[in-house]
Amino acid sequence: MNNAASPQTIDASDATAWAERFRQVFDGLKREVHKVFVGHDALVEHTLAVLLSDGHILLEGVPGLGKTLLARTLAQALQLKFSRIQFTPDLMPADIVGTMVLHEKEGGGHELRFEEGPLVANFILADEINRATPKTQSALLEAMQERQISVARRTTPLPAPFIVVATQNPIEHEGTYPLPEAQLDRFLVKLLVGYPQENEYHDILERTTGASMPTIKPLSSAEEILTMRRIVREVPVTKQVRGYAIRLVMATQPGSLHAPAMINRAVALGSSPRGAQALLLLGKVRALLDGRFAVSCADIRDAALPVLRHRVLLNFEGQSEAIDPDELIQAAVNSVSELSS
Amino acid sequence: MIKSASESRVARDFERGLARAQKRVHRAVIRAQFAHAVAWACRAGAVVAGGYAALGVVMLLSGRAQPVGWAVFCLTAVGVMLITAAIPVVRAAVAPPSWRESAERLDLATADHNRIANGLALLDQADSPFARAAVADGWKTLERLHDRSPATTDLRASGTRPTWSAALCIVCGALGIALYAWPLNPLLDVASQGVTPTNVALTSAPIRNVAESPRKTPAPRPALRRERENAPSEAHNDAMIRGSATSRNQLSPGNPRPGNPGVSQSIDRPSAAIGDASGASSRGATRPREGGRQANPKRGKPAAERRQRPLTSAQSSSAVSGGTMGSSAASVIQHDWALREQAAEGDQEETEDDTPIEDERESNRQRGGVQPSLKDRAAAPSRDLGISGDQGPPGTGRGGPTPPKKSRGTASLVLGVPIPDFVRGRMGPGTTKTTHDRVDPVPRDGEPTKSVNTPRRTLPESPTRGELIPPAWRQIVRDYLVARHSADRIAMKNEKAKE
Repeated sequence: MNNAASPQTIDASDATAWAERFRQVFDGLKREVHKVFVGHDALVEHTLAVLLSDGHILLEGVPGLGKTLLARTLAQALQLKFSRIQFTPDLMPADIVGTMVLHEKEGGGHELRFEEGPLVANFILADEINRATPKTQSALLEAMQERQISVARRTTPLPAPFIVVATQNPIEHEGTYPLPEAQLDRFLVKLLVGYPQENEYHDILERTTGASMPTIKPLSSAEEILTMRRIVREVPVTKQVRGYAIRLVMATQPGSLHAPAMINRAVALGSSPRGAQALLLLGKVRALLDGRFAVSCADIRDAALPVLRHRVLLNFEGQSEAIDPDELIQAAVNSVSELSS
Repeated sequence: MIKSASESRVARDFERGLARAQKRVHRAVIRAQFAHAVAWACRAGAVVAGGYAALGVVMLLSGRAQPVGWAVFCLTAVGVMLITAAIPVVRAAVAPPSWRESAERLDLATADHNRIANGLALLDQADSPFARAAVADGWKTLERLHDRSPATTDLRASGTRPTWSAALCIVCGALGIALYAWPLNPLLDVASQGVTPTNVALTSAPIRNVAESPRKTPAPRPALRRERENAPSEAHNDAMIRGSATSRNQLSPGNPRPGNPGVSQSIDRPSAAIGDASGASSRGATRPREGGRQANPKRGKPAAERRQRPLTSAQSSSAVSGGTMGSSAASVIQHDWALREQAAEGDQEETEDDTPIEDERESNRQRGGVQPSLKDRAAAPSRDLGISGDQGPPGTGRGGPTPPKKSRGTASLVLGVPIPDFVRGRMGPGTTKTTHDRVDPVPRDGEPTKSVNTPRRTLPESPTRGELIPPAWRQIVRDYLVARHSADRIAMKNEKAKE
């Protein structure tokens, strides 16, 4: 316990040092990723924030925008066991989880051994996840939530840290299967990858069509990632900010006390408590990056769009009017007051 | 957990820093409560004035004196309004806003990431380094921004507009003042003028007509006929009808009018009036039940409507309450009997009419034998096709054949031909025997199929399925899409220009 006599002399050196270290790791990773991945600063920041707040990422965008490149670059910079799974329509759950294979014993006879699938790794790139059927997509449910896989009577814990970065094409494209709601809910954020700016095209073409490709230097390790995650969890959240996040999540649920008229009209299913958890975790990362030591309502607001946009399910009216989920979340943000009373 | 001395001091420092913000928030809350106070005062004033106005109207109609004067009315209404207005303001003035609310509002005004409120809220979590850092950060921010005005716009916006309640208050107040302060003596004087027996009889005459309308009326008594002939005019009759209520007030029990010994009894004691009515019926009036039976409601309806038309509300109310003059006591009773008789007849008609409807509904519900009839609670006939039915009671040695059994359908009509109502058979008839014969193929006569050259695909590779659009529509659809796309682009450009 600190025995300081006034607020000016409160010892906050530990927290300051931790926050400084966090920012250094974050900035280093960001710089390294930007060596290959051009532009999209907010996208890279959100990706790293989710990585450091123990979540999974869903990247959505049309083909050719660099979704896979971003995930692969991040994996190289993190020096983690990397596994890339190309989701195809004929992919089966056993193909990614693993299965029991009959082996021949050395002394004669046979035995069944569990052959791990590509899911047993630190960094999973689930490329074009919505090209596989929902049956195979659902094979990720246990892995993403409980960090373990179960095959027959065998349960295998997955290595920590465990991160799934999934990419998907927009649902309107041919040959895609929409992700089940339970699967969507397990992604901490859904980030939209848009087209680059004109000046960014120059850099992209220069780096990708030249004779030499930039190399990625591994900066961080699994232990460092876990330490960063512990620091994130240490950031306190006051009752006012927690209440704000709760009210914001409830505002996305039609029929709730805080839901605005637009939500009641166009939404069939709102966010779950996982949405509130994700808001707070991302808010903590943003507070640390901003040099603050507690989460503010503005942090929650900044995290609202990526966290909540895939947790809001439109009803028929919303779909027929082609309402953008981002508009609904913005309406919810505008309707919720910061004041706790 | 006991707070350490340092934490208490930090808390005191925060409170000192927030004092100015708290005062400003407090003033804003009190200001906001003024709007609430006006709204509540208007509502309370409307209720009080409306209550007094209703009471005054009732008193005026019943011919009684107003219970309070205009001064009492005004003082009560204004007093209630003032007290109601003072309550929220005093309550807001007595209870200042909390430190937390002051800090939150100050943060909201400065838009500085809730640093002050976070620091204040994390005072009791000083064992965490991040909480300590947040407290220090909050204190620095408070030192820097303590002079800023806290956000109170939501308090101003929450003030209610007392438009409707104010209008209602004004209307009710005006009505109350008109009733209590306005000299309504002329009307009261007219109402309180002495009511002659003739007037009273006129007042009660239409009531008798109402009672007699649906049935054959007995011959009116000579006295009543004379009273009807003595009626001077319809206008006078109306005036007296309006004043009938007040005239009853004038007819005190101590001054019974000559020739009408039952007046005071019929006014103040309805039971006494009924007793009088029984006497009247014994004097030769037709028994109401008989009259009711003889009446034909359908034939008598137009006449009854004609007679009921001039009936005023005062008359009808007096007729219902039974508070008519003594001379019309018999008619009151007759009216009562007639009403009862009418009601009874109506009920009978309804019962008679309802039965077939109910039966029809019941049959609809049971149509097709989907549901058994609830009315038919008899046991279902036995379907057993045996020779004999139940044996006799045990121990008596008696038994013997029982009545012939009912059976079902056409099968039972053909004697000696048992037709089972189920089909015997096997679910799985067994495996099918398959035989294979080796037969050489034999060519058959016929024209060979001609080969056709398939043309190369000419349609462009595009996600738009152009082949689905008929050629005649293709240009129209294209024009439409182009126009729509250009409209979207113009809208986007306008939005960007606005931004």
